[in-house]
Amino acid sequence: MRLTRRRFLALGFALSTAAAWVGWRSTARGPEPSAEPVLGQEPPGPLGSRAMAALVAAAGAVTGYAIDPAHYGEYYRWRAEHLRGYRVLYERFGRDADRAARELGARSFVAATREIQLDVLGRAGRGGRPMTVWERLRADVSGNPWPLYERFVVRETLALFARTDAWIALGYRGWPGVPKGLERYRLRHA
Amino acid sequence: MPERSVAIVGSGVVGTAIACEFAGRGYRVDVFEKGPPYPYPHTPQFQDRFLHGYENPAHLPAAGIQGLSLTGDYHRDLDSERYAVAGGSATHWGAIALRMRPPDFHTRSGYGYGDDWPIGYDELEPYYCRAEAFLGVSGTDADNPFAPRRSRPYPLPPFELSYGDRILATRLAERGIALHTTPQAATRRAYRDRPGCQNFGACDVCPIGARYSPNYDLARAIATGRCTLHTRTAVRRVVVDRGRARALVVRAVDGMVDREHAAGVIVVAGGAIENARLLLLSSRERAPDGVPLSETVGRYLTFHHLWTARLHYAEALYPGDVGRFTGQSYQFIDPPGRGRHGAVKLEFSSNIVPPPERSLDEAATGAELVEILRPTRSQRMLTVHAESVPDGHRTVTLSEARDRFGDPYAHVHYELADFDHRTYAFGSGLVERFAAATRATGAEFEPFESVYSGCHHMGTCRMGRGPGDSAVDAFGAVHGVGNLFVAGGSAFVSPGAVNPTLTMVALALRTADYVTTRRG
Repeated sequence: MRLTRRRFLALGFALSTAAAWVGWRSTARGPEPSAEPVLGQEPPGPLGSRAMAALVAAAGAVTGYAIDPAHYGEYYRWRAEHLRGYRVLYERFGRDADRAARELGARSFVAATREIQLDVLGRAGRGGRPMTVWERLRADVSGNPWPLYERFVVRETLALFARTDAWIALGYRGWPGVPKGLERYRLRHA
Repeated sequence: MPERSVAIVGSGVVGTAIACEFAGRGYRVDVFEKGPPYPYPHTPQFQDRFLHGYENPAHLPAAGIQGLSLTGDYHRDLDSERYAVAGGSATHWGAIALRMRPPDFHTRSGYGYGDDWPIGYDELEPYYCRAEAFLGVSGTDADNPFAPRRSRPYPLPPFELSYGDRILATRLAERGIALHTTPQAATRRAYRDRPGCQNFGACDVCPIGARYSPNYDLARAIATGRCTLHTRTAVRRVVVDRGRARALVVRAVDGMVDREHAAGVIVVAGGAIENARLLLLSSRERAPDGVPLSETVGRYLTFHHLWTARLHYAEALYPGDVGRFTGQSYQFIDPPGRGRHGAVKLEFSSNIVPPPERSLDEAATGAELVEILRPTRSQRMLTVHAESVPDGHRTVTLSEARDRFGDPYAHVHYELADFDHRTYAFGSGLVERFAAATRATGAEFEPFESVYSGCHHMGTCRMGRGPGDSAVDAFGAVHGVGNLFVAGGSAFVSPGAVNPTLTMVALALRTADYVTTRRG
């Protein structure tokens, strides 16, 4: 079928109206479907000490427990050296966390109080809620990296905590992955 | 083609057991596995998962080789229940290694449902002993008054009940219910050259090989110099010539060209769904040099039916303190109402109770996370592990969708029957009894619709007396093609209520015996 100018304009009007209606409906219904931020594809490599210190400090702040820095540090090191995107993200996080901490009056992120560190880490401001499509788009356009830090630093650190130190905090004698032997599981917990 | 050669489709626990038997008896063995190599011991996989929080794509099947379609009443991802890597699904199994009981082989004559097997428990018992030795099973029947008779003790002592188990076992005993240990293919002590379990609590990627993995024996078979494992190689069909299976048509997963691999004996051991698919792809109806098939091929697909309850207690019982399965109960495995409903095994193990999925997303700090997780210390999982009935309404056929070679995927149709509703109701009543007896403060039981197979897929190439009632004979030979065998759960006539792997291995060893000794 040949598309005349008149038909083309009519079709354009109809499509615009439909798009506007869909947009209004989605706004009226609340947030759009969630979308996860996407990590870059930069090659892996060694992680600088400044970034590592910031990451370990972030782990201490977000967990709130006296963590073993080596345990968390090894986790970040491995990801930086083996998985695409992490090294660049971690380095950028170290710089941005320092800058944000200084804006809040601290000498650096590592030297900041836990209150300031949590304030810095809370910049994504979503309290763990997944990103909406709109937030993702806005972050992409503005280059705001904090949603990425939330997803790939804060959430992953909490996931590591959940499968390791959280078990100790709950009174277990070790977490899955640590050999515990076959005697103590038959005994009452202290 | 050397007569003393065997080609095996699938490198899971069944294919591996057969490979070991044949290689040990001087046969030339070729094992074809469409999935990738899978390191053993599973230390790298353990490190990926537990140290790095990483799912390594190198250990996942290539795209375009698994993609079955599914209709009916089963709503889980069946492809994810079939782990297509070297070693198969048993690289990830729970390792519960139980014998079926004598009545399970004769449900038609004993209870009026299903069909009878052409063999009975007594014929299989010596092979159960061998299978237990092969897998290295730790267990005891001393605490299980419902265990079937055995002619040899378990190779290894049992994993004892946990502290929490013993509290619950005492309460159950007060109400006349037995909770006993779980026989399992994990080493309570060092066994052969496998170390004793050290309770890493990471059993599905056990880093030291304490939990049995077929890769252990695959390596042994390869070390004989008579066995070759062909990973990333798909088998497209079986070629038959004058009543004998002549060859497999195989192709590298990333290849463009088929080749024929000839062998004196061909064993199809790729799991119940893929076994049926391969036979259907090889049917004489599709090619003149195909396999003459019984109409029963693909018709009697059977799953175990699992439903899990979460029970809450006032005190902390610390589930997950031991990674292995501990408590279970055989008490309802042959209940008075059997026939009206199915048999049930209850698993009340000391395993980790998975925390709610939303936990991580809700927590902003470690302290919040700990509070979300805290109730799991006082919870236990009780799994109803139920029998079902093969009835012809659960089938494997060929799908419209095709794999990367252009071959149709499997299509699974799985309907649940009134029998299953009654079994669920029976199981639900048992959950209430267990909850009351153990003084649970609350219990949530999964709805009927959430039924899970436990990755136990059976019955698609059932054994029997002739092509009218079955796909294979009592030794697994395809009717009319004497050197083509089907091994594993697909040959089951009925599933009983216990985990099937030990029976699958016992049948595999029996098939190997038959081929190498009686058949010559």
